[in-house]
Amino acid sequence: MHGAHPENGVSLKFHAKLLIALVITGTAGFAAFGDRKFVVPSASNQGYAPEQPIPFSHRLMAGNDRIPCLYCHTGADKSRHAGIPPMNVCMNCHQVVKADSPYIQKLKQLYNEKKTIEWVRVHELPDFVYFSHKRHVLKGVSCETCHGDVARMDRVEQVAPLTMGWCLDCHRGKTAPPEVLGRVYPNQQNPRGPVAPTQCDTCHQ
Amino acid sequence: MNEDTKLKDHVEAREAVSGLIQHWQHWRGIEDFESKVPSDEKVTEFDQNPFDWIRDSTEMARREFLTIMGAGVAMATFGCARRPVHKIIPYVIKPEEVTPGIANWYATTCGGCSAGCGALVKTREGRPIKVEGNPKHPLNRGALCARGQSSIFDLYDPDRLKAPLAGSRTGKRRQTTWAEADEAIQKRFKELAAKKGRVRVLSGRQGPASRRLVSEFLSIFSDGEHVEYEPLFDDEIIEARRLCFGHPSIPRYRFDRAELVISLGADFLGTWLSPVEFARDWAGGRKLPNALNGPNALPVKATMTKLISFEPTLTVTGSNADERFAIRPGDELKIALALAHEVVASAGIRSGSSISKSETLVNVLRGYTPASVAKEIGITNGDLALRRFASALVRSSGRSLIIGGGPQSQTSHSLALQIAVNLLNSLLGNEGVTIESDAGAGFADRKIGFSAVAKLIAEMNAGSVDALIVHGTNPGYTIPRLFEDALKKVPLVIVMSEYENETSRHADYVLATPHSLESWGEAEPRPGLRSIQQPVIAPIHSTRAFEDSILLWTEGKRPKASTWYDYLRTFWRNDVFKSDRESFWEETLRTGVFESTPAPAKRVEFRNSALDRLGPYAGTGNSGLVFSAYAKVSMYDGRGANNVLLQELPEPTSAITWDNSLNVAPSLAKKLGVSENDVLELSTPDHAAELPVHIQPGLHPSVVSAALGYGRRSVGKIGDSAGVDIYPFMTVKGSSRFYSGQSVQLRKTGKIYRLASTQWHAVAEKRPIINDITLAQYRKNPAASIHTEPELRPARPGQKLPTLWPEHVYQGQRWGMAIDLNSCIGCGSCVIACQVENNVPAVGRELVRNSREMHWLRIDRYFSGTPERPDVLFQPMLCQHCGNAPCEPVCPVLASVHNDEGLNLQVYNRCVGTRYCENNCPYKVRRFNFFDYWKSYKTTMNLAWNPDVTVRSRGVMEKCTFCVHRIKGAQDQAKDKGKVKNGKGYVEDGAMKTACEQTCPTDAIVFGDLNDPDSRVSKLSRDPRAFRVLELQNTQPSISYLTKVRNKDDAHA
Amino acid sequence: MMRMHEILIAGGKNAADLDEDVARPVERFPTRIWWACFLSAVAAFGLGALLATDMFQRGLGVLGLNITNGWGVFIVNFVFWVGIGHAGTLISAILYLFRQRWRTGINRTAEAMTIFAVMTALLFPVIHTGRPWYAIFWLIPYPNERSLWVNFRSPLIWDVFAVGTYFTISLVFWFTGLIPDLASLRDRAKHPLRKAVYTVLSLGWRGSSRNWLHYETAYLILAGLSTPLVLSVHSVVSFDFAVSSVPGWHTTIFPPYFVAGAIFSGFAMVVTLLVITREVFGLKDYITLNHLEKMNKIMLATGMMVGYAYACEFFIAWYSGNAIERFALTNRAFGPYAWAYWIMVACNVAVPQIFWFKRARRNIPLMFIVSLFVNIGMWFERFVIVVTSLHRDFLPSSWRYYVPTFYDWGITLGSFGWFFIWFLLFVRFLPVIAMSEVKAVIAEEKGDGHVAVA
Repeated sequence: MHGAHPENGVSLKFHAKLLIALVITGTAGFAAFGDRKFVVPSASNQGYAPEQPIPFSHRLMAGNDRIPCLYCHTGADKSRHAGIPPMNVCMNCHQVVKADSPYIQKLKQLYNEKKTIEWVRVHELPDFVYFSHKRHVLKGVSCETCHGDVARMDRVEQVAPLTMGWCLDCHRGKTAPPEVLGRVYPNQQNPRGPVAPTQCDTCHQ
Repeated sequence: MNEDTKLKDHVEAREAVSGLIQHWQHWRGIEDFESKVPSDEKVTEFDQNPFDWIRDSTEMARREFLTIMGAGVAMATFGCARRPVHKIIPYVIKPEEVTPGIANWYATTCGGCSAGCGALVKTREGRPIKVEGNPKHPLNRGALCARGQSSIFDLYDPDRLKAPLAGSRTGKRRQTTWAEADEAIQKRFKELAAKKGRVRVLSGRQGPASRRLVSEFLSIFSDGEHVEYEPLFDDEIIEARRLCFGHPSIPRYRFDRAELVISLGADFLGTWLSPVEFARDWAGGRKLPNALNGPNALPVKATMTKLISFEPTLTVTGSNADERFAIRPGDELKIALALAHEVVASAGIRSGSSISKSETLVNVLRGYTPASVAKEIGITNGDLALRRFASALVRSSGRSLIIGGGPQSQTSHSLALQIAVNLLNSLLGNEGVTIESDAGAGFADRKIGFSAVAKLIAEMNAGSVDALIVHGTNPGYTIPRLFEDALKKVPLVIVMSEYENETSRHADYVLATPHSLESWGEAEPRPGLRSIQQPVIAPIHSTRAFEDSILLWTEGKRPKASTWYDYLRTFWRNDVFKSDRESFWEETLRTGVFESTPAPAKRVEFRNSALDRLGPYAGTGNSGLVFSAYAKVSMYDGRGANNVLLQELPEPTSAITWDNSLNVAPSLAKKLGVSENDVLELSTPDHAAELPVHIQPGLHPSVVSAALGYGRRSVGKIGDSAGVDIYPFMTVKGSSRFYSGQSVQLRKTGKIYRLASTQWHAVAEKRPIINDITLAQYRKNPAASIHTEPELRPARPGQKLPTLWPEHVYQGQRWGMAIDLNSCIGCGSCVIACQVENNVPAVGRELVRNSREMHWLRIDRYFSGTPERPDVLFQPMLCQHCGNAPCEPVCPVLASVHNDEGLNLQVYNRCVGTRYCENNCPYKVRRFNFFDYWKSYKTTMNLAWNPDVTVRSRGVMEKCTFCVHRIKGAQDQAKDKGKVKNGKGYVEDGAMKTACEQTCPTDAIVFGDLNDPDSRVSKLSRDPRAFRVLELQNTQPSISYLTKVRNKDDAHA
Repeated sequence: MMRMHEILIAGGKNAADLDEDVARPVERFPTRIWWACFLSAVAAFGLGALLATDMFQRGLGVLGLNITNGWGVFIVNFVFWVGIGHAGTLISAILYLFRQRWRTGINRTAEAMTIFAVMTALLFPVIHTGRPWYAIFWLIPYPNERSLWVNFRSPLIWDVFAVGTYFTISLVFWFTGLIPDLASLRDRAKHPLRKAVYTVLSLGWRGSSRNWLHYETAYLILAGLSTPLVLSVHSVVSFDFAVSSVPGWHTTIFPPYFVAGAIFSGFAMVVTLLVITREVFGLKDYITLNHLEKMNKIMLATGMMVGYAYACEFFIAWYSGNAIERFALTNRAFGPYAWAYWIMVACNVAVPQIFWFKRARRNIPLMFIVSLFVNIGMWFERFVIVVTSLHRDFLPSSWRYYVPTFYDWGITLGSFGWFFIWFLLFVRFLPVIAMSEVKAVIAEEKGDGHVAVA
């Protein structure tokens, strides 16, 4: 019969414990964080707030001056794309307003040269996602719902995760803003339930 | 992951060439972009040009764009890599009518061929992405053929000329500037004008305005002439009508008024004159009543236009004929006269006819007894058939139509054939009813056709032409040797073309012309009908319209107009509208067409003198092998050779792509001991070429045929490599040319060339796939099914079978389709429409050989009957959007799912490509991206993408989506109008059409809501003729096919 | 008892000799033959890996697949290797439960083979997908920020579970069996590193009666667990085909048919390997002719089951009266792929018949050749099922032909390389014979009171 050394007795317990510990922590870890970044890296760019060529401040425009979003982002209620205002829209006011500011000077110069500012894109969905600003705006979803309180931002930041799960949560009514829920279920006390289709072709075509 | 890495170096690329950053944004068409103010003086409302970057675009720039198009996928799913910085470029000043993300439509004229169909062009952010038929256009009424649909790819073809070229004729070319070229050319013209130079302009068929413009230009010179030439145009028709009626013209054929059509070779459904118009009219007469079930609803009175076809090779027309006979080219004449003989013999000559039973007539017809003719052309019981047809013709006098022509039956008898055809139609009183000759001057004042070209060639050879301008036609290719040799004797040759081509190789100057979508123009499809052609995008390259050049060179006596645009406008004001009301012009631009009240059709009297040209009975023709050259619906005369979509469009009758083949009858193949893909040498005394064999049922045992339009020598990367040039076999006798009828020899070469065919097996094996019955059977039992094993059909129609999974319920709309096999002519325009609409790539010859073609919508063709006289049946096959889709349960990642409108969705970004769905699909309509096909779309080609449809990357399965993006668009509009049902916009019947349905010339495809009992589609799917493919599999397809009915009986011919 | 001992251990070996004979090859420096085999295996795998990498770069187009034949050689290999992976567990678990002592000589090798075969099989479902980099994540059900799950209706997902479970259990089973032997290796080990490694692996085995008690219980439980798996795995794999609607796949006979085939091919592979192993490591006394003869008998039996299945398929196709089914089967035997079909029949049905003769069953070279034939035949069986059914299904318009390319073959070869790399490492570092169990057999013969098997 092959030999049995005392130290092996120790090692038996030790190794057995080690093994069990590993298994438990592994399972626990998966269970706890399985649904988030621990399993696969997140696709979200939440918190992305790049510097812009001109320190354009939504806080001043939308906040202090109370310029409605649609004044500049004219496509938001007409088209899939909210759109970035053409240079001439900026110049409408800035021919006179703060015309002496160096940034406005830069703007003016570009405008006269028929050139444009290259803004850095903040909110972006992949090409296989077909999101319609129009449908959401007409449904009464406020811009802030997805873009956050832009009126308080000096530099625009991506507040929402913009992940598919996040979209679905809203469409399924879980996180839908009350005004939208109210619109979909007008004669309910505290309305709940799906507010928009969740078919694949709702967003992918 | 390679998408990811690509994305990364795409970021570096951005840093590297920051100058280009702004540009890729345009291509997705989903972001704002700056508008360039047009550099040239003419500014029209759609005239911003975001594309001039392309001239200095680099590989990087393309990669960037491509990455974004296809590989944005990676960005979302693997955001772990820091997302690349993307820029947004706003307009400087946004054009009024452009809203990013919303399409603009412009009416124009299709440049696919000279038929002059009306087109609507869809543009996104100033970028044309789709050409569709113009529903308001009386000619094509919304439909368009494959060539028209694919023309958008010509616009973006990277092989196009990008600037004017000058240089020696030895082929050494250098790019030049317009100023330089103009200076030199005008200098030469001044000299010529001074010393009585002889200048010739050779062009394709031209509209009235540019014809006048050219004549004004030529009037500078003491001796100037304008010759028009279309290679596949039947000059004989014009000549014959001059002889028979004293009125040289192309009449208007009214297939809509005919109840019996006999075609002697003419492929009027595919390539002859105005196929879309003809197909529409003809199919109208073949629509069967939408009978509903029930014995009392039996369509006992149902009738349909009958089509009888005699043709040397199997064309689209022949394969749709109710009765078709394979003949030798040249025998058409005998058949025509045999029919005439019978008609005169049985019915005599109708009173009031201008034809006198003169000696000549009797002499002419004497020999042509059905018996002798039938015996000679070798049709078994042919005499009986001919007698039947003759009496049928008599029965439907004035409601029948006999036509003839087309390259495949163009022989030395062609002129006689046209005269015989005119004689027949006059005898039957069809003239003025099913054939309308216009009241106008017709072609009297025009030098058109090969006779004119022959004269020109003679002049050129005689050295009596000092300058030649060629535009819109390519004689160097279509009249090989002859014209090329003649060109060498002309001191100044200017070719204006979109491509370098066989003619331009001999030119001193090659001036790049814009695509029809980039330039102004007009067409006169028929007298009184004017179609405007307006540019929908500023020229992408440094090109200039033919007319603009002519205007510029018309120095001295230059007309008021400064640009071709102004000239055209003035011309229309004075000659078309005959009014100064500006609104006219605006109107026309909106509708794209202007129809002046047509003068009453001219009464024409048949002149017996024409009969002299017929001569007495010719007797037996040669009995050896005869050659017949024909045109494919895709290649036509070869002008579309560099269009990848057309090259990959399977020939309807042979399913062959990318090449032309030598078609031989099965019996002949057996006799020669050759099989498919064997390479044979085809030779006439003055030319020989090697072609791969295709064994084609429905050919005369002593006829071999091959398609024109292939073997281009200098057009571009795609066209040059494809097929064998057949034009050199053309025989020229005096002032006329024949494509067919030459006696030829065949020699085995022992070589093998594998043709890229998309269908290997053409027999339905009695499976419940297709169904066709005769009209007689239809009247008795519209639901009759004769060709399939009964055990493979459900016991009773609509029988409910048990299913494993719970069935879907559709509260709202349920999308479905009905395809009438009786209307489908297999022309393939739906295939191309689908490809352009859905960003479906062409994969190339090699991959088609490996059975990897990507067509979402393919057209299966099945043969029944005998190899000598096959019945052909075309079946558009696309995703059936099954209620019990076999593809859905097997997909492990839920990429193939059902939606609540009965659509069978394919979620590309979810698909991992196990291909299980493809295996499990009984219809094999799913297509797998074996490679990154979008990579093959270089530079300008990328502008053709449809931004509403995801571009698929490799490793992803794709398939027909029922144009889901169109459905969503329609629902969006419905919602705006407040029409909402079950949370979604409610689309009215017909408010939305799929791409294939929209372009179908015969309205064979109907799409709509199956849940709405009154919608066209659900009516059709309840029609007793309706059946579903492989119904017993219980896949419950959303697509119903309607049985094809063949009109084989004479009672209601 | 005596007879059994006679049969199962030759040359009057005792426990010490056993330890010596089995452990020696593990301890001495590997032989030339081993190196030759190992390097060629590495080379084969290298080629496969190279081609696979290129395939990932360029796309699946490098394979012979087309729009009609969505699956090809890769899936054939998958089913083939899973099949191979059957014998091991069958021998160790079922024969164990049936108290078949003769298994002791061969079960270790067989189990090892099982594990490596399944590891090889698992390569293919991943690399055959168009986008493996996603498949890895998305085929496994886990909660994610897309709020998406997998399709539990899809047989491919069933595969993930079935094969996954089978692999885990087999691995644990095998490792449990190894513990005592690892301990003895540990005790023999001189080199400290070597000792350390075996110490960790042997989980501190002391061979105390308490250890043995736990060991035996655990082993018994695991045997019980894996027994149903032997039948379930290949049944589930067969569902990939049986559940589909493709004529030629859509048949109810597939589960038993596949299991029989799997055992058949599994045993063939075991014979192939054992004949070599016993030769190379001089273990003729422990892996005796009797062992091999028993295996050959099983091959004969399962071979005939497979043959019956072939016949049955035809009968059902005819009996069903479904013209499309009939065509599919006729097309198998007489269509463009008839050659593959007849190779299959010859190798799987005809050749094993020779085992009716005892002399054949006990003839080493012969049984080696036969086993090779059976391996080939079973590979072609899967080829016939996958390819000939697909290439001509419902619509004649999409009938095509499938020709594997260099990439298909190269990667297939690579999979063999991968398998043998593992197997060679196994024979190099672990005892190829379950020493402890064989000792039990010896002990009985010695009349020693200690009987290992409870």
